[in-house]
Amino acid sequence: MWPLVRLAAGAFASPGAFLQVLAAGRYRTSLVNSLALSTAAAFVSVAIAIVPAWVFARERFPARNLARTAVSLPLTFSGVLVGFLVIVMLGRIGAVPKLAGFLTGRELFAGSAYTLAGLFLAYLYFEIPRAVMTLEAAFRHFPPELDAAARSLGAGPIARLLHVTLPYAAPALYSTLAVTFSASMGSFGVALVLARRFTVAPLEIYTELTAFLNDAVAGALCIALAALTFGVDRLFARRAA
Amino acid sequence: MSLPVSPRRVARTVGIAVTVALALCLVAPLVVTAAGAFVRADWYGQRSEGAEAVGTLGLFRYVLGLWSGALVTSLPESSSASPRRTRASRRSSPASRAWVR
Repeated sequence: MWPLVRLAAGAFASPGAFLQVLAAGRYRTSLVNSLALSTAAAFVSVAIAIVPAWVFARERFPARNLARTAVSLPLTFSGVLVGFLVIVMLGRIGAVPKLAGFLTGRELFAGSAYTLAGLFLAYLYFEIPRAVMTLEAAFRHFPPELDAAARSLGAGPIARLLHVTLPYAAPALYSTLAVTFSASMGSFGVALVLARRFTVAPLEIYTELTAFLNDAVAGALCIALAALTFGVDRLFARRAA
Repeated sequence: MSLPVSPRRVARTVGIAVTVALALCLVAPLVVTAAGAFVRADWYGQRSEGAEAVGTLGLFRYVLGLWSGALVTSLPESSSASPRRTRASRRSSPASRAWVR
């Protein structure tokens, strides 16, 4: 707790720091950007992860281990590397624009790595594997007897999904949302590489510390970011319970 | 009347297809980036004149000569054992000199 206490002491020593952070301006904008981006990334990554997680947990097929390794590979990458990969694919002379130019004559998506959409894709790139692995562990414990019982009672695939599978998996889904949201809120390397036209809270903290040596505002931003993350996590945890 | 293909089988096939597609999407950026170190293609970024002149092997030699110390330091187990290299010593490594030349 000592580092946290020091951080809070530094932030509260300067009463204006919190007012600066919460007043309209780049600090509050960075917090709102972080919150919106992380929430969207968490929901979309969990939505995309449901099917692969279910397949990895319940099905056996050729190259299953290879596919599982490929899906979990981005978990080992640093944020800076993920940012670099997104630039290679969606930069101004990236692979996707060049491929689009070859196919259609127009270099679509050129430079989109540096937009909000590019950062969102980068967040998805490292959040989807996290969501798949977390949900897979939960789906492994899903009792197949429940599904079989519902089927024997005449329930179709949609009815079983809505009334059996999803209610049973809801706590795992909320927990995965909390995990992916927290990881996105604290993501720094990706934003450092890609965020050109907007800002997120970890970048502002870094700038305040390294460029302006403004410990008070950096500490206040840290506490505001931690409080936001904790608050949203508690919401997810309450839903999971 | 029963369907020629069971819904369970269709769902399984679609699920596996989605999973494989996701795996390919996640690996594609890594493959393209790694290929960039070996392939001479105009579309892959703007290579420096030095990279063009030295070639792939020289490129790796240059990177390892310059950053091998940092790579070793990045390994947690060996971080305490690896000696830190100064900027001056990096610049004077044989690979760096070959690169400059």
